[in-house]
Amino acid sequence: MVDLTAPALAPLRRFDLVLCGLWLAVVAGWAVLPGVFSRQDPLAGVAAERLQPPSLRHLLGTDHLGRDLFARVVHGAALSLQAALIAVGVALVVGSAVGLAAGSLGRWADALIMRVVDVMLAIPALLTALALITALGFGTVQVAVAVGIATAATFARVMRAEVLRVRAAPYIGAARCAGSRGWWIALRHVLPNTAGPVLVLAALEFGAAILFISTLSFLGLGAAPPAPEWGALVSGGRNFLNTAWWLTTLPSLTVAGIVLAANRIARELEHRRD
Amino acid sequence: MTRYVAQRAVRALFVLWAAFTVSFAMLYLLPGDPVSVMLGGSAGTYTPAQIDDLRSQYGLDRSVPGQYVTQLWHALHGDFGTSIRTGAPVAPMLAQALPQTALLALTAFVLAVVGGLGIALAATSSRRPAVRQVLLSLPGIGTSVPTFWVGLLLVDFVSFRWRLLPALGNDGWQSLVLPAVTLALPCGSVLAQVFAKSLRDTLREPYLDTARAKGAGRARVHLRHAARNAALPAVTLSGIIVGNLLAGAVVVETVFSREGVGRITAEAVLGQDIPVVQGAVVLGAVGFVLVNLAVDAAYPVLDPRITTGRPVPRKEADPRWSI
Amino acid sequence: MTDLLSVRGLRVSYRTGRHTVPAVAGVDLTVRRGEVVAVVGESGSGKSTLAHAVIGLLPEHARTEAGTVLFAGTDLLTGTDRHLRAVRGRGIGFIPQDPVGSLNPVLPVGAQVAEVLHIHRRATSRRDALDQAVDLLDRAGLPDPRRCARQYPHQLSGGMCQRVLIAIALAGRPQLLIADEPTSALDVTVQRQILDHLEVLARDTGTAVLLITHDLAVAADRAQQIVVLSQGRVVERGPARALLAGPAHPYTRRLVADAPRLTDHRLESGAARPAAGTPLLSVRGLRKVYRGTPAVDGIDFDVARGETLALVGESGSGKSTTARLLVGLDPPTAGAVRFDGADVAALDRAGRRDLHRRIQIVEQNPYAAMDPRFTVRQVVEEPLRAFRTGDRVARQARVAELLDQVALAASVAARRPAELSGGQRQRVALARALALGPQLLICDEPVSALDVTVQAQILRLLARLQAELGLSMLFITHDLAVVRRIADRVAVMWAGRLVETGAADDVLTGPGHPYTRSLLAAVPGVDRAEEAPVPGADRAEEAPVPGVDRAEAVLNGGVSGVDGQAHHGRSDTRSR
Repeated sequence: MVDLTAPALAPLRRFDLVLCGLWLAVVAGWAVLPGVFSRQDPLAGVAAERLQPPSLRHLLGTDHLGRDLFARVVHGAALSLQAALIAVGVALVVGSAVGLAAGSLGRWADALIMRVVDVMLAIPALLTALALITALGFGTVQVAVAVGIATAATFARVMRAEVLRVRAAPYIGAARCAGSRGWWIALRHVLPNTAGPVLVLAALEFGAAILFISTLSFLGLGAAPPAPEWGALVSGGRNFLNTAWWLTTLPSLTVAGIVLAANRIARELEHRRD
Repeated sequence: MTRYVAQRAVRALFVLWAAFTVSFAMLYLLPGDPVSVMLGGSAGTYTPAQIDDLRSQYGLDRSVPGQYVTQLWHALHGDFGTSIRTGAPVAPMLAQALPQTALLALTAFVLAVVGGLGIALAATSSRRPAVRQVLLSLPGIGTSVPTFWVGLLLVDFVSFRWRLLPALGNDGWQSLVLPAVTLALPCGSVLAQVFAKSLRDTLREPYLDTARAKGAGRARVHLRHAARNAALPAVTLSGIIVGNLLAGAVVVETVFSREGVGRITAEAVLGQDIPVVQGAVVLGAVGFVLVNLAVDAAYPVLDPRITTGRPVPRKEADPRWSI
Repeated sequence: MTDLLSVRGLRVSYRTGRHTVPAVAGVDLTVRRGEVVAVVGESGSGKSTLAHAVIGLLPEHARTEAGTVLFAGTDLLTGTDRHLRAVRGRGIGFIPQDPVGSLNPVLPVGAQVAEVLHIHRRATSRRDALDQAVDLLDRAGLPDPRRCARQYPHQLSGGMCQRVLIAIALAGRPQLLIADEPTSALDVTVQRQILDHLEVLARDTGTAVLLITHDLAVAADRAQQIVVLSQGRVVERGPARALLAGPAHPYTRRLVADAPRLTDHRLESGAARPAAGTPLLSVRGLRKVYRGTPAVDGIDFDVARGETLALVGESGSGKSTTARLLVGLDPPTAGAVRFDGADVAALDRAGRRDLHRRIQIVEQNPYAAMDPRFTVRQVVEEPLRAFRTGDRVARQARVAELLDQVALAASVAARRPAELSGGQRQRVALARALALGPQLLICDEPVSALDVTVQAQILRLLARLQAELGLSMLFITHDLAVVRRIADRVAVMWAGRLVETGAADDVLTGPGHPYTRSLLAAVPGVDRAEEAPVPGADRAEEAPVPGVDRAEAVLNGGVSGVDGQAHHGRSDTRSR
């Protein structure tokens, strides 16, 4: 969002991009190799060290069972990131397929598909996701799939618009005049030129998905309790709000930081495309 | 003009019907047996006969189209079935909780509009680049922080530490302030982003040069010429925003332990109470549709191009959204 | 003090990324009271930037680096904001390039004119301001000004919008009017009426005019003084007639030589005269209806082998639609097209595809007609690949040969369309069109978005290629002066019909139809004293040429805007 296009700010701009990239790389590292980042057990607590504020020994403090919060945040990365990736993947695949179908079939098929998509956009995504979870049951994967389907309509819309834009572009007419066949035009002209904006949207939706999933997890719809999902960590810390601020604030800040960084990079991608 | 309004009204009815249908499809057609979903983990303790009883009680023994037609017929008469957990009829239950949530959403809407548009306008019309940068970065942060944490943070500071406002409950305006602010934050941020972008684009339009060339001052250029044109895309967002305010109430009412539709929905999902969830989804769609009707009615006043013949590509509202 | 405006050593540059690109590099300019000065230059010469810098309307990424802009003795660059605002509108009126985009879409035009009076406190009340606005609209030549005042810009035609902008510019009774390409987005007939009107109003009120234009002929017609700008510098200046009669600087000389004129001759192609016999292309009763409105309304014409037929018309006349119908991008509603004796409609799929080997099209905007992700090599190779012509090596050799044929360096092959200039892109489009060795080339406004010097090069190239390859051409354009250089025969199109067809020499020297006459009269640079006055010259834009209304109606009906783009190629110089 910040307009850092001023030339004087160019080095700064690259610096903050690098910082965002590094931060996301570290978080990805938590997901893949949590043991490297935190040697403490995320599930077993030490009763004597209950509700300790952040210190060198416990970077983010401990919870009411004496579990190290940093370890729980690190080990929660796998669940939370996996869920976000599934969600964006589902939305990207389902949404693009639907949008592609609408944009290429045209006529009544387009009208029908887009009416359904419009309705999906009319129901707030959170409510759609809640309804799907009601039917699918609780758990990380269910939440991820629900979020994916709830946001697929956005992808469908962007994909369709892109397909229509590219199909109407004069260079498609020129390709037809050059005698190129339909499949060649679809493969070499339409697809590469539509992919960009859709992938940028996927990058933008990644941050949103993390936030979305942590919200559902906060409501208690994600993984079952001892599992350290980020939203659930915050929810668990609610009861100790006025005695142990770190239990709610630090996992939340982690989420906010990841979303900010993901959005920053996504916007940069968007900017470069323009 | 009459035709325009009639068209919009028909579309609104269609969206409502479709929302009902989509929610039916999601809740009753997805793999999984609704009865065992309703009974949750305790399905094993029921005898097959009892389960069959439940099936017929909810009409689930009939064919899917049959169920759909019956449910739709009932819904048209304002009957959304009964809650599985409490046995209470869904419609009155939601209707009773609605005023609290509507009040919350309305307050949040006003805050979001005033705050969002205000920040965007202040940012783009500021002469100082530094002020502009800071103001423009705020909405980005607003859309990135989890709403539930903002709520908890406000409770922690404003209620517990400074003891200024009550943390929980539904008593009077004092208890409305914190939830409304929390709910308004993400919506206001999105509005600010959309409006700021639209303002920046509009300020580059040639007709603003015409205004400047007339000798118009900064205020006249920004308010009379730019703001009104730039507001159009933000106005089209209103429907989505109100829908999301109702959805956001699920989180906010949970955090602040407020009575309301959102809290009922959250509990219904946790209890897998299908009829209540369906009622809530349809209610969300009603909110969206009503606001969109209002926007459609107001749009020709804001943009004369709508009713005077020539079709004008109306800027699509950016459907990207995060709670 | 006779100098109204005096610009000294003005330097303006644009910031792009980390580079600063100078747009105006030290320009001196003087406008005396009541004088018309034209600044002439090609795109990128800095003429528009200069105009905007004078009234402080530069875009954000532009910076004024040095110089003074003295208006009535006061420097506008160092003056206060308040002073600048007082000068804008009251001291200097501004007429922008893009008439439709320069009016606020959500305010009635009357209110937009009245706003000037409010700002400069020239009205006693709202009522008074509106009355004065109606009066100004009337003077600007709008029919039924009271009704117009209540209308919104989208309800008016481009020419009417430009008249509203003139009313706005004159509302504050300025001493100087800056007109930045005021008519380049308009059709030639409308263009002429607007310029005539502007000239009369300026003369009557004693207003000085700084006219920015790319068109040397327009400048010569309208101005007493001409300043020629190239790459941000003044290369030559002087009284209009003297400068045109004896240009001293090589750049000006080239500009004068390359500007198309009706008095030109056809570029010698050296080809044999078109042979008689069966025509290559034969069109009978061709018709295309979009949403109930005919865009092409039953036209007949032939193109003989080796001949160039120019299809001439203004925006909305249906000429671009005709091109799309002929290359099969749109199906016709009715009519027969015979190519080389065979009925095109009767062809099967393979036959229609095969037609692409023999008919090719070059469009006005070559940039849009190339996949931005392709390199020039891929662009030119595409038709060869589609028809499986030769193997990879043979195709590469052919691409090299084609690029050479259109006089492009071989190194261009590896670049992408975005990295090329407008003229280079048009050459690439030409190379692609020639790849399969077509018999008929359809050129849809191929040069109207190009600067005159580039335009002249492309026209020479087309003439040469036609001679070398024995091509037939259908050349679609709005510009009669261009027609003079390239066409053997001319067909004048108007509101979907052909009103006149004949040999180029006959039609251009002795037009039969009134519409052709008005088109010819509107071409700038024709000595106006000797010409008969244009029928109903002023305020007539809506009526005397009965087709314009209809043509606009066709456009407004949303006829895919194909023709609508025809004249907008030159608009936004500021974005460069």
